[in-house]
Amino acid sequence: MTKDLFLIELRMALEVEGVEERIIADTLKEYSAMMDDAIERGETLESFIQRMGNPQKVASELGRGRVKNRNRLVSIMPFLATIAFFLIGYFYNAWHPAWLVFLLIPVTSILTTRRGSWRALAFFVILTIVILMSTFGPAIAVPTWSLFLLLIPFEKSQKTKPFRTIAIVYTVVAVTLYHILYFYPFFQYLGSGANVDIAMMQTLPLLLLVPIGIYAFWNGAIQIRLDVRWDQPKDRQQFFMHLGFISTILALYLALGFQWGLWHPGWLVFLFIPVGYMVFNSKRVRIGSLSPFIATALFVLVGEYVALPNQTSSYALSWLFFLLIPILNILFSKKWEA
Amino acid sequence: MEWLDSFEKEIRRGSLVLIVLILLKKPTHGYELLTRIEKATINMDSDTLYPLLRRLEAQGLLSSRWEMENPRPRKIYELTSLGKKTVTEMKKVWKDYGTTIERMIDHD
Repeated sequence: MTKDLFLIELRMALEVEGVEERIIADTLKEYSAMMDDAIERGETLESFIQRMGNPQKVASELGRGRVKNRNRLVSIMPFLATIAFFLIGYFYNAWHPAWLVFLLIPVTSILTTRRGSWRALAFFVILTIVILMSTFGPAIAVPTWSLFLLLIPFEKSQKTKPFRTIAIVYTVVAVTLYHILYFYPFFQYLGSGANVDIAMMQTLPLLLLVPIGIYAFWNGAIQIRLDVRWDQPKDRQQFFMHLGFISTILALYLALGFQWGLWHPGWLVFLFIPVGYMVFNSKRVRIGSLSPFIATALFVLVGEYVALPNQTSSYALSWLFFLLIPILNILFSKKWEA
Repeated sequence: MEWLDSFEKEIRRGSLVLIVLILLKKPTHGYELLTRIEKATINMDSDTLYPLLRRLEAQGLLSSRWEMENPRPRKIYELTSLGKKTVTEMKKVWKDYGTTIERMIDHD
């Protein structure tokens, strides 16, 4: 396991336990410092990680006090969501997108136990908008993915602090403009009129979003960290193995898209990247850690290729696969062992 | 023997707070504390140390600060005045209890 992977696993475990974002950030910072200390004193990362133990256990110990303090609303929200789901589904025959009410469970948890983590909350709001838009039709849904970009300039970073306001204004303007230009490709009315390629006119505004992508790397919202010690043959070998693995996945995705037009659900192959890292870098892979990927793949594949009577898909039911995440985590968690 | 392991584990768990508080007589950072515990040949699960430090801090027995003077920041833990008082009381309780147990063993 690498330092980054340990920290990612620790973050995920802490988030699952509902630990406050402030404590998560501090914990990760301290673990990172301790790992650096260990390396400086000649200890290998592997032996340190082995000594520091299981991230899940650290997280469950840290989260223990919080669970007791959780608001009662969080505890009853699964029941309220289930009732709302059946009522909306039954009376309006709208099982999809009625299942979205289940998003209220993590949202309530964020509101009551992780105050200040408004970015997580914003993520769920945007996710709901994107899913609702895609329900009304892919044509409307296409540009809505760019709403996720609104989260980027709010990432706090000392490096980009003086430019934060400009970045926020630019992102809001660019995302709004992208939507306007997508739905009203007004360039078609200029010059050659009807001969203008509308698809091209809808794609070109994507250029507006490129600076946001670059900014995301700069302020750390997207990070590519290469902890490669180039003088160490093992590190070099590992780096090229990872590079080869990611390139193969990318090639597979492009082949599925160009050859068979399977851009969707072909993107699922990207799930092999985190799964691959977990499988190859850990001595024991926890099924609970894999459960989000298994659930997503089943949700998309069954939803896409198994049709319900009188319908073209089964997304209205396949979302149930997401229930596998808590089920597998409970079944395979050591916490529940006697 | 399973019950013996469990007995040892219980004693370790019960004494852990005292051990950590004693070792924190001088301000220490996390890695140093971990190494000192291991040097003292106390077989402690490392994944319990960090949450324990957090808990003791929340209880007001420890305080922590990020030391930024070094090239790499480190979090330093130290005893608060409540922590110092508590460790003195705990030592007394431990000694009294130990004496009682020793007496019982000797009379056995």
